[in-house]
Amino acid sequence: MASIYRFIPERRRRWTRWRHVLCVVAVVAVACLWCCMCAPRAVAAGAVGSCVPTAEFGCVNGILQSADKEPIAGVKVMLSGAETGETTTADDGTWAFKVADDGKYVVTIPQDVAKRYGFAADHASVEIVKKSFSQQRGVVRFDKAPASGNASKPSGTASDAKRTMPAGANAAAYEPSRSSVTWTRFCQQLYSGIIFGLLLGLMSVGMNLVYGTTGLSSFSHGEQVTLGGLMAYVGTQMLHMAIVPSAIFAVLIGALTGLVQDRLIWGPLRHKRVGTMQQMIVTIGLSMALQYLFQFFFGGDIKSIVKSVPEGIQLGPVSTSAPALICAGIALVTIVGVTVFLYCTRLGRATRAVSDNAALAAASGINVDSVVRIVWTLSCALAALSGVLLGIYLNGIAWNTGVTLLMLMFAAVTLGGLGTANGALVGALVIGIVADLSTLVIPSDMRYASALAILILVLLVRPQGIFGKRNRIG
Amino acid sequence: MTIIANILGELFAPTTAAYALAAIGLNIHFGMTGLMNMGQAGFMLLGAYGFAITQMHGANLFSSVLFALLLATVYALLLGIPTLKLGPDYLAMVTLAAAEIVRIVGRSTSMTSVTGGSAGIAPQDFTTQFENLSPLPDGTSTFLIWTYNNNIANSWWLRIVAWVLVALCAFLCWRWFRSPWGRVLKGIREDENAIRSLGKSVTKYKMQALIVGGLFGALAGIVFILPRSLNPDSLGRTVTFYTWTILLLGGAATIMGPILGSCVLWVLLTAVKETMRVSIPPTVISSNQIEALGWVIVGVALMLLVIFRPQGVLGNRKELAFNG
Amino acid sequence: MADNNKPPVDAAQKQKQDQQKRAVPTATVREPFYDIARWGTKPPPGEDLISTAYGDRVARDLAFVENEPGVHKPDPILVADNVVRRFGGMTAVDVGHFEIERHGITALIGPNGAGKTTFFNLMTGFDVPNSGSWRFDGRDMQHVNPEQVARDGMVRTFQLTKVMSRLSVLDNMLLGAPDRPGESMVRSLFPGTWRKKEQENRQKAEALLERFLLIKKKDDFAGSLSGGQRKLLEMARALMCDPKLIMLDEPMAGVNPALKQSLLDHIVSLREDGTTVLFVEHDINMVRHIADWVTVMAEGRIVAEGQPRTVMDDPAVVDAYLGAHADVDLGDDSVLEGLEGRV
Repeated sequence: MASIYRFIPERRRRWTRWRHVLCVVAVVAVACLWCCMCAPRAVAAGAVGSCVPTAEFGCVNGILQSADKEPIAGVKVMLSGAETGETTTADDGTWAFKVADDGKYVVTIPQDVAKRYGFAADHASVEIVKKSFSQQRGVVRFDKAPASGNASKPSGTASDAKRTMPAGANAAAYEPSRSSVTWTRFCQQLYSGIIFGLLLGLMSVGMNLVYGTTGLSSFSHGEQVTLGGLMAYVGTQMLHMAIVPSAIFAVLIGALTGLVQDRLIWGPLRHKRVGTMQQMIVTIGLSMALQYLFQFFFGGDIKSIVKSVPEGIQLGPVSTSAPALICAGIALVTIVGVTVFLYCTRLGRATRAVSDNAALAAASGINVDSVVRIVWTLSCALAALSGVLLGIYLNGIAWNTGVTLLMLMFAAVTLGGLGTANGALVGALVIGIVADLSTLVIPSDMRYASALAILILVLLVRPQGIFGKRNRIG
Repeated sequence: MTIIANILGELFAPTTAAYALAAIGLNIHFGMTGLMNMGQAGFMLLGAYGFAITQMHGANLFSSVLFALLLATVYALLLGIPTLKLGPDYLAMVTLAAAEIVRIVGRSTSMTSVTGGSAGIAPQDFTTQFENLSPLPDGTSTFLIWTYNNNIANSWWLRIVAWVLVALCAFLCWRWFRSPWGRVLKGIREDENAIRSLGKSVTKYKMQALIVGGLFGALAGIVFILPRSLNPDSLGRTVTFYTWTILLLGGAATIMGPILGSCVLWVLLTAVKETMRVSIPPTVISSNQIEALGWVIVGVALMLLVIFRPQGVLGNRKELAFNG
Repeated sequence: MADNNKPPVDAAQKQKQDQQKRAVPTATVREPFYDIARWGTKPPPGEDLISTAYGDRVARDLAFVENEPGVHKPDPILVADNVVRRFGGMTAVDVGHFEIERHGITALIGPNGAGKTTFFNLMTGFDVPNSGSWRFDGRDMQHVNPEQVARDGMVRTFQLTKVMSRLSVLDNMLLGAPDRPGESMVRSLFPGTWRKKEQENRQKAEALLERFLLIKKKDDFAGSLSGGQRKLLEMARALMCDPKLIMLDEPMAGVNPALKQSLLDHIVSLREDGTTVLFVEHDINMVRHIADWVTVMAEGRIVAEGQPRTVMDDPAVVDAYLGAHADVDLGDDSVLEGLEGRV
């Protein structure tokens, strides 16, 4: 008799199982980046068959299912809150609302349905957060709290619904044994992990090049990524350029900042023979300064580069969109290009020589200083490009996007082996896939933590990373 | 007048004391032993959680503090065992990553029943016992130009306790600095292989330093949350970077450096922000932007310090001349 | 070269050695002993070097040992067997059998890349060999970490001098002291518990600094010392540990010639204090002057051993180490360095 309602998002399907007596309604809200200035204040949310979050619209959606995964069709689902709407579940149990406003939403199903299946309550509330992209995919659950006190008489008010939002009491629901890992969901997570890994790889390659040639772990690399995304935003939304010229503009600005930084900061510091640890603290200062300069000029909200609605594509078990595929493709091509550059061109060989032994390279006639300058420029350009791609893939970029990903970049680089040419890509793929696949068993807001935990574990077993060489001691 | 009182009040604010404590801990890590701890905020957050959660469940004050210290010790051991034998880069990254893990796990919605999720823990859940312990009478008191509540929240009582703690830690630090133990740590900072060749267990000493500095960090975390609520996001990476700025500003490897650095940074930062708030109309620069500008100043200050005066205000120029 | 590592000692020879050992009673050590280290660079007027007590004994002992690689010695303090260390495909060290005579000054020579420093690292626990075993003073030293090796009495210095730049010279010395109650974290908070011992260590350190002509610098930062003074400081610091065996990695490298004689005297005086010395050096003149025994390494193997006078004529050294340049003066460093690239 027990049944389970599941509200599952398009992009991140979460199939959770709860006790047979209780009913679990999991609502995953995917809130999307939405510019308050240009979007009209919508009153009615669009009830749609399926929803892919875009720049202007967020999605509140899910799949209604019973415990044995039988879809429940034809149930009326009501949306209230910042916008209102009504829909009925499809034959496969899916339902979706497209919303243009952010804020709190309450999803309600008829009380008799809830009673018939022995539910704890008939409503779930969800908050669409658009502060940062890592929060916009937050899982909001609505389950046990009303069951303990007022299971039989669920209150219909939104304020009460809000109180039931915290879901900590149900940590047990996340236990691996209780969550059903389906093939589709596995594929979807693997796929998004690979895409994210490729983008992360593109970010980390530059950082690894800098580490290889100068021995410096640059904390300001995250800001270079943000800069790329924000410059693309400036290009498309402020200068009204097309996306491709904007991207080129962003990459050029990124390269320029790399060049200028090396001229003004890193070059002089190298000549003063300032230690890399001190230089690392300088990058921390630079990171802080840049990050809050971005906030100063661009504000605290998320800026979307593209405002059009990308069409969803179904590739076998995986649903995706064309921009995501294109971004991943560009990232892959660029990484391969950098590798080819390092191994097949004269300049690339010089870079690798400096990376191997700077003193020896200098002695054999390589101008180490200019190589390092090129590496800084290239690294910042790559970071900017990855920022643009990330902004498109995630539907927007905020002042702190880069710094949120900095730890993952470090993880990727360390995992692949500090200073090795190909390490960053493999490390990034591992990190991306681990982060996204780990959401199958742990709450999705902890998925970065799992990637960082992997980093620490790898350091325990193989401190030199996957590709790094063990140094001679003494 | 209130502005001046606000600015000068930062000199002995509990938050200043908390940062001074954290910087003293970091000084043991970096100034004495040369360990690049990029996750001091992790120790602080863990200490804060340890204290607040046990308080919430009705433990007494002493055992709560003890539990916080215990958590920090275990955390230091977990971090130290894999990384202390590796290069400084690895410790920096692992501490940074671990601090993030603590924060991400703490703010996760699935942990709401334990840690309060991203909303954190409200002050009434963990400050009551501490405030009841105060010998001061209820109400507010005015001393010179400052008026604060005696016992509640951002109070005189908290200020007294916080600064007594700072003084105590500074005293311990002073004793250690001048002892043979401190000498071994400084030797490790200079060249750990040389120390190893003289028959000392470098890893053991590094671990001791990591734990002691982490304990100070945990205390700092407790002091940090007492005047406000426990919010995991308020003890993130930026707190670590603030602590670094304070340490380098005051001068690493000095006793008073961290305390002076904390006072100077907060007074100056508040002064700049308050002046901007008064002199620039909010239509030109909003209050959010002033906050952001404050951070920019800290970042630039950190860069300039490292480049032009790496020994800080109190540091010994000569000591730095022989770097490496 | 492959058969160089076989221990070539037969039973008869061993017997001979044993007899020899018994034939030298310690009572014959001559008195009085002058502290030659106090002379500095030249002997004070009226004093003459008349005895090197341990030196004489070791010279007598070693006089009957065959000049062959991997030979057994009468009273070894360090015995290494089949120590192999590979870096990737390259074999850095492959020592079949090697012994160091107690109280002797043993020189380890060989071209750059011969594996001398790696051998030091292996013996002192700073590096781990792929295989092999070695005993120091009767104790098995395999899998012993560097700090324990030092505590057991085998102390080394480094080719690239390691002094604690931002600590005073005296603090550098005190770090070498073996008995330090104040170095426990808790006890260090109570100065009463360690002050007395600290005072004793300080006196010992100052005495050593005086001997090494560094007493005037004792409160300066070690980073302000010259290269030669750093070598002296490192050696003095190693002596604070009261080592049984001191391993000096190129003690003369980069040292001003004026200081060289003083350093040589210090090394000789170490032997007279009962310390066994193993040193790596490129300066053949120095080797000739002070070493009791010379071991030649090339490509990770020990290719020759013997008395300083005879080892230079050893065909193995001439063939394997010097090759076509056997006729040139070994004392000429520039020639030697020129050779190293090729060997």
